[in-house]
Amino acid sequence: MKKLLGNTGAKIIAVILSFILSLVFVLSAASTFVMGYYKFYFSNVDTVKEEILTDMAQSEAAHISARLDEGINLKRYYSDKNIYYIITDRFTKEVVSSNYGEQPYIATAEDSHYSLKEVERVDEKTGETYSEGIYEHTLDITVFVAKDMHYNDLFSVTSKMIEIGFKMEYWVIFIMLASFLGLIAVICFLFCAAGHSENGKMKLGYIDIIPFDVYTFIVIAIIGVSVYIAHDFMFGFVSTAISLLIAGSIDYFILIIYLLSFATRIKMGTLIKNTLIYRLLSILIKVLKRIFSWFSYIFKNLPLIYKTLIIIAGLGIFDFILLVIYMDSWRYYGRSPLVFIAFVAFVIPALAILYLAIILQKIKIGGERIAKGDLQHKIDTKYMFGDFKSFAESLNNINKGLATAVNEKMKSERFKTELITNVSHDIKTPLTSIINYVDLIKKESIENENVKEYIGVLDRQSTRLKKLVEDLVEASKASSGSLAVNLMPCDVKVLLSQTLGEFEDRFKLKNLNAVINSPENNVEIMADGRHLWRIFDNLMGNICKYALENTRVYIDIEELNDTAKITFRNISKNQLNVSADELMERFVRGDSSRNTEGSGLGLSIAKSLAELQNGSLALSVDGDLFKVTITFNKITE
Amino acid sequence: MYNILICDDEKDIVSALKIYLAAEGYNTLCAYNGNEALALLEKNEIHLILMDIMMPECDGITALSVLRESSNIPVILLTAKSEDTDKILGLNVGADDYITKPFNPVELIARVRSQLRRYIEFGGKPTAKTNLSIGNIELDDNEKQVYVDGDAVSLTPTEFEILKLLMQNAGTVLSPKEIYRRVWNDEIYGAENTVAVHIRHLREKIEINPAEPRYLKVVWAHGYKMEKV
Repeated sequence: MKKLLGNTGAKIIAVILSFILSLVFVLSAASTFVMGYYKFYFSNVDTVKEEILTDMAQSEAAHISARLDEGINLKRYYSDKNIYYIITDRFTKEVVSSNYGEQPYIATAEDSHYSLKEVERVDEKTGETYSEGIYEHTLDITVFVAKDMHYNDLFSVTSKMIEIGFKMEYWVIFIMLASFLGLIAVICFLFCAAGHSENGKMKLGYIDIIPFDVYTFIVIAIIGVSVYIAHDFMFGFVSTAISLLIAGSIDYFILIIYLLSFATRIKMGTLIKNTLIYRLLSILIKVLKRIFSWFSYIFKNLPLIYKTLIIIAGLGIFDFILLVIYMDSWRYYGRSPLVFIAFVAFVIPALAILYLAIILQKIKIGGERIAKGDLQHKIDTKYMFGDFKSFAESLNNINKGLATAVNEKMKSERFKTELITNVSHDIKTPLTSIINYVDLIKKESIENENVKEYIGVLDRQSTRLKKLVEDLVEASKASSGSLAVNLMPCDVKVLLSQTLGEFEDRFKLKNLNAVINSPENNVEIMADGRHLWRIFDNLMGNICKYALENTRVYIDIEELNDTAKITFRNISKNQLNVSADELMERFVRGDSSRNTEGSGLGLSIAKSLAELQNGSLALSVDGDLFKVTITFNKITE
Repeated sequence: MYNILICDDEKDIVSALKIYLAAEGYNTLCAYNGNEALALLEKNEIHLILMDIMMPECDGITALSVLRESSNIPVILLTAKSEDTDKILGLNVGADDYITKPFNPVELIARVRSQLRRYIEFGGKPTAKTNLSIGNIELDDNEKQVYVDGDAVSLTPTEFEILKLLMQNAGTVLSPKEIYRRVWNDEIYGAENTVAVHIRHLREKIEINPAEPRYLKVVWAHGYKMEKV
């Protein structure tokens, strides 16, 4: 079945078959209708024949009457017809009849022929003819259809047709029904097959591409023209039949193709979309949408007051037009105070709306500024009222609360830093004495070895305490941001070479080998050189302290899109039992024994300093590989 | 014999300083606040003052500004305040040097000696035989010799050339590339760290505290410069 649906030959055959079937159906239906009309199914042959032939005889009698006017020789005209007639003059009783006198007939009809005739009389004395007067002249026409038909004419054909019709009367109904069912089946097949191509897929044909409304118009035009042309040829039974047949068949094929295309379009869902109207409408809608979105974009970005003004102006124009119309109509009935009322009724709400818009605009701008962090901003509530006023005041209060909170926070940060700085000053003074007197004791001659050892401990630990205090101050300053930062272009490569120069001896001492990977060109970042050095110093110091001896230390400078990345990688001497996050915390150190020098603040300081300079510092620990990545924004020309 | 006035409210520190300075052969006088220091200064002939900043009654900065109205003797500030702003304030008021607490006694003695030599022996006058001089550093291009506080310092030929270049361009920052090009007469390609290493050695030789250089400054991420004094 699927194969058949896709077969072009089957479709063509189906179309032709449908044509034949519809032709048969039309003919059989017409005959059934005619037969039904003449009561074929309710009476016998003779009655029907008589009825039809009487009808025909009646019209023939009318024809005779017409022919009498035309002066046609009736005798000759009816010599080869199965008709005979009797014409009687009602006045003179004169009878004219056709040749074959009295014969049996099956149908008869009567008609009359009226005319005015001048009756002439011959004067007996003078022998002159004179007009006696004008009289009505009436001829009674009686027409008979002969029972035995000797000639071939319309009457014999008709009577034969009636006889055939009676023989076929039920067959015709059967043929009509059968052809109708067949036609439906074929059309169903065609509708199912519509759109199926040879390979079984749905496909639009050439005709289906034409916009449907255009196609419909073309089809109607063709059918109209064909009917018009056919109408011109309808001047006889035969030519009418032929022209009807030709025009009908052409129209039939055009229509069936049209319907099939219709079916295909429905199946493919292109019926509505593939119309000129739809396309034009969709273009129109697109253009309208574009215009609308354009306007709405402009409208959206307008300040609230302008929006309101535009709306009021629009309303005003609308009102004005209405007003003009009113005034025009009122002209005939006199001006009315209504016009003035309408005007006032417009102006007062317009002013009120404008006022509200101004208040809302103020609140909106205030809200936006507060959201952006402008803690000093205060919305002016002087001309506000009711809910608007309380809302604006609430916003102001929120801002006030925020400002207080921020100030408190800043104050406490400052206080913390100050506290640490002051405490460290106070610690430094006794520390100075401790360090100095330990130094003095060292210079005294001491025999006791234990005392010497204890003094060594004091010396070491007091120096560490000094370092710790210094780092603590720096850490608190760096993390609270109370450190002056002077950002200027810095060349990372130069700094790295300076740093390596500074650490050359300490690297040699531990036999660490620095491997540098850097791009050829200068890598410039925005930073404060001294703080940047402090970061490098801390990281390199850590490497010296914690890197495994006789290993390589990798330092990479990389340029990414708009950032510069500096990576320090080294192999840790001790097993790193702490995570990268923990290492970053203050006072956490790589060796849990905490025996080595250092405060445990180095990484924390480095991270704070990097962040102060708009950079970032990240740690990662992978087994014994310790990696620090510093990222800064690159300067781009 | 030079008389040195020690002024600090912390008696232990004063005593320690007395011991160190006496060991170097200096006479010491002690004051425990600014007013006492000013009083002693009027009565005695003082060659140098070591003064703390944070003291009761009259602090170091106040005393220094009063003192500077009449005297030009060297003043070294001793301070627990290590912030840059404190140092700058002290130097601007009229201090000749500063030492942060806790200090290294050796460094302290070196600074004292340096200031005394400059104040008394040279009196700020340039010596005839040198042709380049910045602060306490003198460079003689003919003898290929460098003197710090009058003492000859032995430099390698490369160090000498670098120092000469920096002193000739005192106040300007020279990048390692520039220094290498002008000293080695070559392009730096692959030898970036060389300059840094030489400068560090140089700093260790001419600076009292190489970690906090007074003359040969490192401008991090840019280069090096000789401070114009």
